[in-house]
Amino acid sequence: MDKLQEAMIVARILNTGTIMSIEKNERELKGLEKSLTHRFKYQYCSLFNAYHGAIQGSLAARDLKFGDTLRINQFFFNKELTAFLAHYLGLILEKTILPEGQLYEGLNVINLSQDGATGCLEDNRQEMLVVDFSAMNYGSAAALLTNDQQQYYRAERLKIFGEPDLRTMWNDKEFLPEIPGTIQFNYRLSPLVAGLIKANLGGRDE
Amino acid sequence: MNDRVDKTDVINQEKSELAYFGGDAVVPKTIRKTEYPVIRKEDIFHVLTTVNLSNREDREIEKITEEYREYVGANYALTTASGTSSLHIALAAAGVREGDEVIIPGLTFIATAMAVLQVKAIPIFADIDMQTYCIDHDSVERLITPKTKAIMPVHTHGLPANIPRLKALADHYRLKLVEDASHAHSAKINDRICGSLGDTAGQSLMADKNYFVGGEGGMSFFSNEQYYEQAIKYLVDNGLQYKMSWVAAMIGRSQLKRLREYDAIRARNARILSDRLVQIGGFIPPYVPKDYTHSYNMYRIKIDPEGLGLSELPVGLLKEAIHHLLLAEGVPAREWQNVPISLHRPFVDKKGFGNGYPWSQSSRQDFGYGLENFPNLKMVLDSTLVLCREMRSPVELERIDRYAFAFEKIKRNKDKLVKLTRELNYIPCYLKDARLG
Repeated sequence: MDKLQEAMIVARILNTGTIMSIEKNERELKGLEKSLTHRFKYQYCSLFNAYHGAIQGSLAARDLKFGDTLRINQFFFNKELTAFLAHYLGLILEKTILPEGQLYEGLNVINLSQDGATGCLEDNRQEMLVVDFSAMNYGSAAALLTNDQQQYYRAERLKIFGEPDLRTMWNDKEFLPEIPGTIQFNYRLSPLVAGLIKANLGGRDE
Repeated sequence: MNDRVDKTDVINQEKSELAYFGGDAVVPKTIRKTEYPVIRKEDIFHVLTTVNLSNREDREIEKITEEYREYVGANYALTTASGTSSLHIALAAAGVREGDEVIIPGLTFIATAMAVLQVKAIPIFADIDMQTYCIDHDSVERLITPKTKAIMPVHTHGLPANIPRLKALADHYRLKLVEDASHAHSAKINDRICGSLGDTAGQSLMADKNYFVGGEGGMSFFSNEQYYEQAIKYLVDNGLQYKMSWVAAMIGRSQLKRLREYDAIRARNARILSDRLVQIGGFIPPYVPKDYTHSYNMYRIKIDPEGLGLSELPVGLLKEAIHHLLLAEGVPAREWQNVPISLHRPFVDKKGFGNGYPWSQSSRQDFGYGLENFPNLKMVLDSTLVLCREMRSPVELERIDRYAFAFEKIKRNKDKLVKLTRELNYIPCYLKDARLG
């Protein structure tokens, strides 16, 4: 996508007046979620403003806790990720050998740049997928995809003003009493960034 | 569609019925929506020129950091992905770590408390001052223990907390003072802007703040280089990517040029509304101490039963009835928070990072989260209503005039107000499910 197109997309979204992620009539985030679920063939999509946030979302989805053990693909054993998983989240990490792209049992990770390469997903589909958009150079951004509604809600529970918080606020009643409240982070993606990513994926810019 | 109130559209409602009971609304539905954020052609031009630059990512981030740091008057600054992360970093930079206690107010947005958990410390909630709605100094002092590391006051709704008094307390007990300045863009004590008053500070620049970037964003401020370096090291050591998108930064740079203009309009609108409410009686506007500048991110109004001539009625019931009446008149008043933050699910369930961490690190049996620990906050929740976007937006004078008239109309129709209190199935807000805003 050329820079003029990028500028036009940003200008269009600005002119809608809706650049805040928690507006009821916000469309860019919903549009990107729909585009990703369709493209990668999962039912639910949770967006994050940080790659590490999406990884944390996947762990929340599986209810992994501080002090639990996680066996991760030795290919992913880099300083930044292990610092986050072990030092920050308090997980005990063990190295294991897994197919390329698989971070741990049940999670694939792909890095989507502007050319939209999807790698070897089809050969080794997992119950969850993290798509990292940071290489598109709009800022840190990622998505977590799953077919399991409870996993989706647990991931969204991790986000301040994620889906459960929004529904509780709009309806004045606790939306997800069965899923306990956990620590939360502001991992919300900005609609401007979502609009640019969606356009890069070939989504229709409305 | 005309979305602005026109000065030629005169209010002629002196004999009209309250809208709730079938009369005409003071603010008709067709003109209720306020425009926020305000996007002008200057923002579009800035986008068109900036997107084309080859070094746009680094450039926009560096420039907004420097431009806004200079505006605030802080010595060092770091842009972040959100307000919550800015608070997290501010606490980490101040040296708050696992198992420490941080005292914060019970009336705030949940992000204040979440930032404390994020740095693996334990939030301890203080009661608030009945006049300012900011953290109560005496409550803070009662809560200090050997585990206390920092006090994090919130400049609630845009009124600076009593920083001189809190700083004296922090100095006496050798604590850090970390500001949550997320409501307080341009708010001041004397000439010093919030964000530059404590050891460190965090501030949200989310798109519903008085000053904002293009979506989510925040900025941490540091009083010295050591705190700044500590923040950088903490991010690396913990593998955290808390970077603001240059796309958001780009919008923020453009908006910063108009911040003073919008501040002046907000101040004018608040002054006019406050003067009118005092004249009307029964509705107490925000209190602003001498030498303080309130930035009016939100505008909290206290219901005064005696001033309304209805002192026999419980204030909570009156508040609920007035809330219904205001909404019907087209004045979108809100409660904003309905319970102390300590009663939100994450602090009731105390799951944290899992397995109860970081609370599991504490030897406390009682963290003081019960409602009984917040008598002032409970009274404030029961007796006040808040105008949010309506005061944050730089709306036209005529709209403020109509908002003021809505309050006047309610007071003139006291009999109908009393009638409504008899019809309501009133439950105090703090007994309902906690919601974020």
